[in-house]
Amino acid sequence: MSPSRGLLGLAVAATLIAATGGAAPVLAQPRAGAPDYTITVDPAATGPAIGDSMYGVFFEDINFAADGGLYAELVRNRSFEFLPVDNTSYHGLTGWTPGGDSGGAGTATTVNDADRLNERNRTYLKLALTNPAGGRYGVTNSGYNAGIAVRRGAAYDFSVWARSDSPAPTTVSVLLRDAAGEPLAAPVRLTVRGDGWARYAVPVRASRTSDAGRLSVLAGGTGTLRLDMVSLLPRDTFKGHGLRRDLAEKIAALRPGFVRFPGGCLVNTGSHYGYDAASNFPRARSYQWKDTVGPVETRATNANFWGYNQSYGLGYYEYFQFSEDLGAMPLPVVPALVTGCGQNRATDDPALLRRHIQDTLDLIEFANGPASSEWGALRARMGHPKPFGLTHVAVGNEENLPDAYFANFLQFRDAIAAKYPGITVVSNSGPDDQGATFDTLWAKNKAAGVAMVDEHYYNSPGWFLGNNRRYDSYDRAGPKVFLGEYASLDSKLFNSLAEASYMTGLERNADVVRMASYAPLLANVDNVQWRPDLIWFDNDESWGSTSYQMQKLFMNNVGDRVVPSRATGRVVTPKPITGAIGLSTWATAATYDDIKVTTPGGAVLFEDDFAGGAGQWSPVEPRGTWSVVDGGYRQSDTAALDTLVKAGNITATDYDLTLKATKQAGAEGFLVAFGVQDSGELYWWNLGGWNNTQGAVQKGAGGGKEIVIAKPNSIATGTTYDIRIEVRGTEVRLFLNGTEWGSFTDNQVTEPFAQVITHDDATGELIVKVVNAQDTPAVTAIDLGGRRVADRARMTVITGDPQEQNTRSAEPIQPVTTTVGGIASTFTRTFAPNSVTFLRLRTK
Amino acid sequence: MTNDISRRNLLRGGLGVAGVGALAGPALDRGVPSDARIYGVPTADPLIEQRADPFITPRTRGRYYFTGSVPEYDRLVVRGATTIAGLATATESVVWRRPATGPMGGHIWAPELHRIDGRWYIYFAAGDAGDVFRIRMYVLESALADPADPAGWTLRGQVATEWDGFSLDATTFAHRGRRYLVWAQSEPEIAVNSSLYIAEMGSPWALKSKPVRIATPTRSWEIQGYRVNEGPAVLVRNGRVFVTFSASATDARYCMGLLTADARADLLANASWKKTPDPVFVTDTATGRYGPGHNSFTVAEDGVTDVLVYHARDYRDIVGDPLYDPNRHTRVQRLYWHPDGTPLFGVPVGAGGPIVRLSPADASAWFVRHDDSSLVVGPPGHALADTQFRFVAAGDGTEAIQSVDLPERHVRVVDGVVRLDAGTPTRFRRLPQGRGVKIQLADDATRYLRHRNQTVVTGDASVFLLG
Repeated sequence: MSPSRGLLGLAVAATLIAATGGAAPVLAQPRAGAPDYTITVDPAATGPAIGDSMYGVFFEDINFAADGGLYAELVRNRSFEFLPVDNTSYHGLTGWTPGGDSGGAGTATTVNDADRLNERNRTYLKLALTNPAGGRYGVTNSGYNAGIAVRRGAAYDFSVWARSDSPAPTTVSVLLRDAAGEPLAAPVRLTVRGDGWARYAVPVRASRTSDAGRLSVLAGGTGTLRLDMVSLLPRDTFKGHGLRRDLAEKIAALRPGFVRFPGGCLVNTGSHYGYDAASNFPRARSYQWKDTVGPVETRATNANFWGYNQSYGLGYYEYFQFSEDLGAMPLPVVPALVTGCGQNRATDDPALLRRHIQDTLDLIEFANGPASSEWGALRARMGHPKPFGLTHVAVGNEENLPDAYFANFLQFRDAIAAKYPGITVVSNSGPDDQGATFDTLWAKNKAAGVAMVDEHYYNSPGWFLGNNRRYDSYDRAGPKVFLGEYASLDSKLFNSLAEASYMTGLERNADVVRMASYAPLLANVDNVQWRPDLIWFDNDESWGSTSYQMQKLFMNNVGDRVVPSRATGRVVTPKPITGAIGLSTWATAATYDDIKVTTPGGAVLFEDDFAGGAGQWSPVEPRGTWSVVDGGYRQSDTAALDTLVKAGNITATDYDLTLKATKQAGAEGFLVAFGVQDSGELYWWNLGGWNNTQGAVQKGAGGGKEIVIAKPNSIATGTTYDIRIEVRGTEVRLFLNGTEWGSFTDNQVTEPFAQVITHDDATGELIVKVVNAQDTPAVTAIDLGGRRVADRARMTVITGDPQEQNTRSAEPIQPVTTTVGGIASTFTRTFAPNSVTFLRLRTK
Repeated sequence: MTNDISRRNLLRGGLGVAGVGALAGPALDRGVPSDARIYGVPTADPLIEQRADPFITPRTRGRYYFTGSVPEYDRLVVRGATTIAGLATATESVVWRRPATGPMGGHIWAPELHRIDGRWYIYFAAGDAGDVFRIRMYVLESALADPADPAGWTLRGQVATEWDGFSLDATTFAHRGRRYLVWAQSEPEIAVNSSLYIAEMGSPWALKSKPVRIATPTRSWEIQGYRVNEGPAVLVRNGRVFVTFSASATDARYCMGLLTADARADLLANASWKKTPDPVFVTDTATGRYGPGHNSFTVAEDGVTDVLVYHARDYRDIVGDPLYDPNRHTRVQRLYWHPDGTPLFGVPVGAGGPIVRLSPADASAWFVRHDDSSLVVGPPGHALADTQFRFVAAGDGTEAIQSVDLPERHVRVVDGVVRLDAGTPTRFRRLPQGRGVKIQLADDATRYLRHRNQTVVTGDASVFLLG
């Protein structure tokens, strides 16, 4: 995904999504007694088959998804590899506190020298022990979140690599205690002998439950004790394969058909060179799979694109193993030597490209090759002699340089096709749902006969409700679509309803859209780089968002074939842009003055020259410092973001908003809003946005803001600009200093009602999936096209307050399954407001 | 609080029987009680100036105690009196002042005074000296009988929560053998300023269960200016646990919502709590009360009348940050009950005398209410304020009948028709009759207000019961 998609998504068309027709004819209010909607199954038509990999998950190590998340390791910075390059707050002892007890003394430093554990595990902990008799000195780890979470009676495996130059054996005590120092387990001891690296291990059994444990490793005696890879792993992991059980089980409950891994932006960003002396051991490298396999103490470390260190304890073997444990198709993504995600560079090094292509071939051998092959042998040594059955490999993620990316992609594809003709190589279409990069890449993908294209987009719920038909018009003979990342931008039930509506469109187009995965999958609640996310956790609990519940419902009720059906009923047609006007700033001090709203005929609807103060204005967001200065309305806080104030309530559909704006200081320019609704919906003209490089009109709704039009623009400090916005219903023209700057028409139709019907071959059931994403119930007449069904059916409904969300403190949005009667070849049901309903109808 | 609840239920026999029940009592011996006695709640308005987030204890050993936020947000104050009205003039003592530096040196907000196992506790919210908005919850304890005595108070420390964050407005109650804390806090996953949480307490200053969110701002009235649910107040009545709370910015958009749980439900389950879709107590421009909220509940001296304690301003427009506008005044008014057992808040009433409701003796479960400009009689609804009136003495023994929620309007008899409008008030005389009154037109002793076919007309007298 893209870390700054606002900027990356600039090149979009000059209108919002042109309506391609709503749920068939737009009705006025239905006549009394008539249903609000109809669903009619075509008695004759056959729909597309839906593959087992229709829905899957996308795992990326973002939001501490791996270390401190799915990877069950309880010790943070176990290998002392943290550096400021990973995160400016990091150092070698991040997560650790040195100290002694019983009078113990010494020093603890992290050292990167020739005494290291191995070439790729470069830094270790050096304890210079000066203990008096009986004293102990060492380090204490505080784990992730509140600490190390342990459960009473559960077993944990402690291990450490150590060496000591003390002539006498060095006794190392391993203590598991709570934050107050009270024991959580009986202390255990190891004896380190000799000054060569050796692994020591001992089990620990927790005597109490705590989510705030501390692991202390304290050594007695004197001399130099070197430690590395201090590890505490719970013995109870998902299928015994080292992944945190509750998180893995939540993922497994989705019954994913595929696992896309390991990213995302972290796949292709940073350096593409190796973690080796020749390259001076660079951090911030692209995700190179060979860094992540073999014994954990030999794996490289890296600065994660998302701003922290990643240990690669969770690596390619674990991903393949997890996919197998889930019964899901593995779908690795390899870097194409072109970065996206705001970096947007191509690395022009043919030898390096050849190396990465060979790495990809080696990856396929690692997954599928016989145990006698070089890389298959590594797989076997790691514990899996049988092949993993890799069928798909994706090359690249969200590259913004279509030409450079696609040239490399073709080289990867050709090499793979030559050696492994059965492997499907997946391309992509950049970071957005439309725009120049998207169009260019799709054209290239089509021309090259690419098998499958990975699309990514994060949009407002309104976008998802308005684009149910996106794939209806895709070329059935063209590349298939892998919707590898999508989400509507917030965590509320309404977002999930919008996604559900959209998913009916994905299923209806299952002949084109072969795979889809919500993103991101995981988020550690104390370490969030991106939201919304599907599954949230801290160190001892996890919970699913409303979208998790929605995805789970869809993923457990896919069906094998679409039963073609159509719906009629009301849609929400575009309304004229009316409402309050607004002023805002973003990290900028600016003054607005002489604000006037007039009809085209010149009648004044609103005006304010601030001669009498600013009493007409009220804050929408309680930020910034607004005051009347020199007869203008000034926001003077250059740190505050989005300081929106609003005034008036323009009910006329045709009007002109004019004002003067002057920037005093700060990073950006002006934000002039119109059509501001109490619900938070608005349009604003963003001048000097994106650090004073771009102008745009953005439409805000439901927690997200999407770009309507955009082009380069900057605002000069101290210059007064004349701003004029002409609104004519849904058409808007924008004038800057009297010159037309841009225009757009917002004709987005919202479809609050969506449906799809599939057939489950195993049970013979029809699965009727109905989304009602509005505040009113939907009385719906359903005609199954002559199919005979049992009178009673199992019904699962997700509904609630559309603004509610599931969090650790409560998960109010849950599916409820009941049995309902009154089902027949034609029947009427009322679908609750803000609901998704799955009816499983037994056919006769 | 539980002791008072059980006593109250004994007195009342469970469901509230609206105001009429208040007539029962010693006053009956001397005929119709005064309006003040019927209303049962002081009418001084405001009760206390410039005290926000007001909290009045249940009467404890014969005394009520008051605490609340002071405009300087720098100290904790307590005052005590034998009556609620007496709190207006009672001496206020400062029981704690914020330190100059460090934790609790910032804004001091919304103290509450609770008696637990023979000791007094003050729950309050405090920022840090270096960051006055780094608000967390703290507890003071006093073993002295008089909580207004500064000598008794010692700091018990911060109420630690599952995650550290902006947290405030702690209130505590015991129910069915367990003690709970309800408070407001921000939660990292939720893009709102504060939601409401409940947890079971292991001691008066520590939680022993994980917090459960019982409300988050989702509706339009909860997200004006700020996305806020705060100021919870608990009232257990009629087989239910009610939690009122306040929402939106602390200006005229501030208002109160209501959560309800069955008294036998698991109060630590989110699903046990239902939010009333609309706010229950909001700004009223007609009565001139703005931004009502951050309430508490107490019980009047009669031991049965529930009292709503809240703050509100008497002007809408605020210069500058509403937080630093000092004129959130403490106000009290009666809390009513619908026969279905749900509370009726009505509107924040304006200044004036005691408030009564009128029920025709021939339909004593019904109430007189205004319907636009006419007066009608009907079963109790959930809109309280249209049934509330004041008899305003004219000085000559006659009275005008004033609407509470439309105080510009009075009951008028115009061309023989009974109306509620803004013209010169018609004068009436109340004549005691049995348990009620007849309401005679002052200028025509042969005509009275009369209940006929669910309307109020003039003619022969009907007896009206006052409640």
